[in-house]
Amino acid sequence: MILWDLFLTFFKIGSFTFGGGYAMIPLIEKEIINNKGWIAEDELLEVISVSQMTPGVIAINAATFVGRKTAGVKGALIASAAVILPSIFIISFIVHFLSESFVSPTANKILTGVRAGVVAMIMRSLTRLMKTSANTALGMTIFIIAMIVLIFALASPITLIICGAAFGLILYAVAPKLALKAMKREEN
Amino acid sequence: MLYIQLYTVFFKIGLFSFGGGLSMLPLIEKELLLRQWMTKGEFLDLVSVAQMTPGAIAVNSATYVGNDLIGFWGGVMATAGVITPSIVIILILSTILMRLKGNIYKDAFFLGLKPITVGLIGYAGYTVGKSTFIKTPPSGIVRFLSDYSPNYAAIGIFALAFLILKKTKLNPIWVIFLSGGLGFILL
Repeated sequence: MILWDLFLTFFKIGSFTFGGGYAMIPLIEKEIINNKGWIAEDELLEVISVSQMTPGVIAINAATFVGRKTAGVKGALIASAAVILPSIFIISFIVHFLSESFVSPTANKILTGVRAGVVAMIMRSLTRLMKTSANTALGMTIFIIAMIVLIFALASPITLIICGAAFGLILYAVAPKLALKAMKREEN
Repeated sequence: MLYIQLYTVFFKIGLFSFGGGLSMLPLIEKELLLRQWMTKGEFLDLVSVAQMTPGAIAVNSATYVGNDLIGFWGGVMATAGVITPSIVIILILSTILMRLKGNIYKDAFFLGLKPITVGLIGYAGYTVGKSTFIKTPPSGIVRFLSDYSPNYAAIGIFALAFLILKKTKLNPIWVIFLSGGLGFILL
């Protein structure tokens, strides 16, 4: 049954997301795009873009979107509930039974290792996502500008997002042929 | 009533934070200290637990605060609060997006936006990488460039994980286990 399948998949994703929302992307790619085929790579990028622009928790935004696409409003609620359940159980357990002893040098070693793995996962997703969106000279240029702006903190992410969206619309208004060409390349 | 207060405070946090996760923490800190629900020290404990455990940082923080103040159901209530804005907003937006499928303006909108999003993902990797691959000296002392040393073992784990992900179809979940295990042994 699709709802049960959604629940299990997002429960798994919630259980293994270390290091915040973006670390979830490789898991979504594997479980939802490759294994289940519920959404396409390009749609994933739309989900993340929308999540960036709207307030809220990125993981929940993504779960809601995928759930809605796959099984309607019910699917959205089930996917969101499933992705938070591991947190609720694990954190409740820690607060009541472990507290300070949880933050130990050993835990820190394991976590540093996990983070190194997470960086590899994000980089792997990045190379794949670049193929669908930064595959044109235009896309690549925007990507590089975005990286520079973010690393040197020249503007806030939200400003960057607004500029990006506005740029696409303006380009279509000013040079529709160029914009269409870029979009067509994108759809490949 | 504390249950309702927890819900509304975290609803507000969910509604007014953009960019997710780490960028939410200052807002959470402000709300908690303002209501004297936590001290600064307790908040720092929360941050380390929220980052060390799987799941969204905002959700982990909400569950932590609710559990700390009331108990299990307090955690559920706070978490429900923080996720409500996300669910409502995305339900509305996904309906609009699905209706606009194939619309040229929608495509133009995403044409500029998607590479920016890829940039944000790259930046997330950069931030996590920076804090993982470079050992920072203890705070309170004068920092020179030479005080920062690369964490070669962590870089090695990264390289191995990347190679596995690129060359094999191994599920990323196993890569997490492997990296954690290697961290325990090597670091």
